[in-house]
Amino acid sequence: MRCEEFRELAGELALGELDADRAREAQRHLASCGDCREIAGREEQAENELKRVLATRKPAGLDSRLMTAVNERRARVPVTRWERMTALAGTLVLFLAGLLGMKEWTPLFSASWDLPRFSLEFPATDAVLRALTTPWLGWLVAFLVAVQIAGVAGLLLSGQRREA
Amino acid sequence: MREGPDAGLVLLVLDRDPDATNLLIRRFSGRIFGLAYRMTGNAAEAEDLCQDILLRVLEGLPRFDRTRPLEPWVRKIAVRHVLNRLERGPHRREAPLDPASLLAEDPHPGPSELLEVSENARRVNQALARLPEKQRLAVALKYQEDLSSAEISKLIGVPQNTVKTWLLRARENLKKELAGAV
Repeated sequence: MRCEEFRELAGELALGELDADRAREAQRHLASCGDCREIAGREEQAENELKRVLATRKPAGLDSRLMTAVNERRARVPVTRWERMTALAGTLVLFLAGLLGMKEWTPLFSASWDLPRFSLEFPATDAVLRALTTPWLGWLVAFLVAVQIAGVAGLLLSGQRREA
Repeated sequence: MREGPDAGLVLLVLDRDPDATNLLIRRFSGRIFGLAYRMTGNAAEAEDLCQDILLRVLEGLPRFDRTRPLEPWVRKIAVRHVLNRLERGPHRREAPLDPASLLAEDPHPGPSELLEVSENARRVNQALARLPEKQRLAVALKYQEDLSSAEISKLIGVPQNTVKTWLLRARENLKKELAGAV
């Protein structure tokens, strides 16, 4: 092996990536060439420094933080299909019951209504009742209730629960 | 069928033995963290990734072939997960580790050594951040996991000569960055 050839392969030799035959040739050349030995020494030093700088140690407390977090997350089990369906059905029933209840017991959805008699006796509630009996407000309340219930359902459908 | 060297540990973890689970976490946390840190340059993000990878490992254990060693299997999950995370888009800003954590061999470094290592670490992180993801991964696997180009090639599905070229190129860049120290 000639010096030029060795210099081209010096990096590969330091990386430990030279195949066995070429590595033997390189070692034979090094035995007889002081200049290339110097280059090889520098490459080896650079390799050791890179290993030192690129090495990382675990940050303090990493293991205990990981153990706590992993065991906590592992304790959660996915919600089963049956549980999801039950949650969905329950949410639907609740929502329908809420709508029916509002229609039955409040004047929110009626086109014509009379203010309850007690509101005349308590004028302070008069403004509130008038606001509540506005049809668009009724729909807004119904919409917010639906959003709320959908949120709960979504949580149940996509989420996990803790293991019993 | 002969069981592999880690079959006992795997069976205990599958039985939800807490000590075995913690042993498995301790055994792989450092290497997974090192790989994730080298890939993201952010210690907090690396810790989050480490947590996710360990969970995936634990969830995947029922499908693990117990006649084989655990380490390459865990490494494969870690590499895939880290690459997926990086592909999903921009990650958090670079946040280097405490310099003392970078000195693998010296548990009690002096102030000047800490300063030097901290400066070198910053340069290395910047140089690594400039490398394309797969090249960065090849460097991390070489220097962190001590894998050969053949092993890296098999792990990330890139021809061995390409990996070798990446490593040599990255090595030259890193040497330049550390010119003062190397």
